[in-house]
Amino acid sequence: MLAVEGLSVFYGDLPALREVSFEVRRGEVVALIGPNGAGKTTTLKVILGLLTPRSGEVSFERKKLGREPSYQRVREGIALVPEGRRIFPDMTVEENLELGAYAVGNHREQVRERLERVYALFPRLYERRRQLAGTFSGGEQQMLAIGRALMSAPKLLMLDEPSLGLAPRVIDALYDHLQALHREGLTILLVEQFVYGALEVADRGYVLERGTIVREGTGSDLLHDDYIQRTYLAL
Amino acid sequence: MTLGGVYALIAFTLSVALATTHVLNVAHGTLMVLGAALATLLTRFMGLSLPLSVLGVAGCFALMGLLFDAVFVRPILHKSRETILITSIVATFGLALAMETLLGFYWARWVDPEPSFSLSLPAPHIEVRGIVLSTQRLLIFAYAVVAIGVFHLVLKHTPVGKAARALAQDYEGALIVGVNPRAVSRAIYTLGVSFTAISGAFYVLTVPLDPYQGIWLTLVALIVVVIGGVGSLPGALLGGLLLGMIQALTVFFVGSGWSPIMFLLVLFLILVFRPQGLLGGRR
Repeated sequence: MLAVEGLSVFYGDLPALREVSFEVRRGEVVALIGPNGAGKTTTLKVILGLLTPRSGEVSFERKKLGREPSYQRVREGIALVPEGRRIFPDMTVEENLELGAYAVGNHREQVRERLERVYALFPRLYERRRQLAGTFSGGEQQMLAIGRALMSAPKLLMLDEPSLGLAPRVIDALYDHLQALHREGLTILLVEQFVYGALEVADRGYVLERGTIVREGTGSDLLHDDYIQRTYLAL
Repeated sequence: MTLGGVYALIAFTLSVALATTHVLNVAHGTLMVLGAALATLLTRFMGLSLPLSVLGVAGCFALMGLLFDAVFVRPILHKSRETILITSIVATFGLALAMETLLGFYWARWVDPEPSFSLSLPAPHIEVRGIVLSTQRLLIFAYAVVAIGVFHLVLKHTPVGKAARALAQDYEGALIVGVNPRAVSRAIYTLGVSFTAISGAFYVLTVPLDPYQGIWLTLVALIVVVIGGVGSLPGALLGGLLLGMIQALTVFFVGSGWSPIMFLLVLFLILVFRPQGLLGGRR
């Protein structure tokens, strides 16, 4: 579904990604793990078209995306739950969600229907739909950011560090939600520093360090990999 | 009271541009003057009726808005708030001076050696139950309320308005949900510049303008916006009403020369005690 080939990105003269290649197949949960500054967020931004790579190519559903702008990519079915959530603080929950459907057309009934699906998934958002999003706690904002991404009815959902800053109990709930979405057939690309949780739900995983992929394998293989256990799981 | 309509009219499109794209358009007042000039040209020298020439102004300045967006807004749209603010002030200040000089020079040369832009209504006064009211001011007040209401509703309830607010609150967040920032700013400036020019035409129903009053109008607009609260259109209306009342009271009790001083005093008090403006949200 998603293929990234030979991606290189530079910030000025500093390389952020060097020849990164990986793929996400339909229906998979793929985890991209690695330490801070490894280039995980950069990778997601390139996939959504927020950053232009120096070289390399991103293809989605066998189509090369080239320099296509972000709004086009959202329309084709890529959605991102960004690092830091980036919700709109001075808008209500419902307005935030409606904006999630902005790129894919604004048929009232369709938007309504999707709103109801998101509310069914996160009843808490329904209870607070008239509240300003800026007044939410971290966990609630994360739910809102995921709900907003789902409003475009994506084929591929990318999440950037969804567990960051959340209490362990909230992280568990979040991962339950992700697994529920996966069971419904959504393809997920998950970027995490919370390596254990990510590899547990992932079908496959890639380890990114200093801009290159150093390990890849199935979720459970990586969980039991010596190097990963030593470096990321501190076992 | 009706004077407040005039001040609200001067300010509201400046407020929209500032709140949605963080552009401080110093040429705002000059665009008003240009709108007034074109309306004067169309009515007085070409004999068009008032509504028709307002339509003409709207059309011409919608095009001007497209151009303004392409040249002054699009290149800096993706920069940080601070960069946009500073770059736009410098660039549009230059634009204001250039337009002002060209207008002054060519109007004096081709149209009228003593440039003064004004429009008049067929019936300047109407009488309601024995009270004589100025038709111009009533018309201006009605226009200001309607135009501000329309902009407010567009920003609050239409997709493009919501996208504009999203861009203002979190630029990258808006890109992520699939907002096309260029399309949004094009819509805002086409509409905004067009309404700015129409406001200029309405303004000269009461007081004539000369080519060099643009920057002064921008300053008045800024005072109104700061008092009402940046980004709040009802705030612009309220700020305008407040200034209108202050001016009326100052003229009545102290003398007309004092009103600029009173304006600055109010601005000072607002900045000290309520820096976000009367109806401004937290910043």
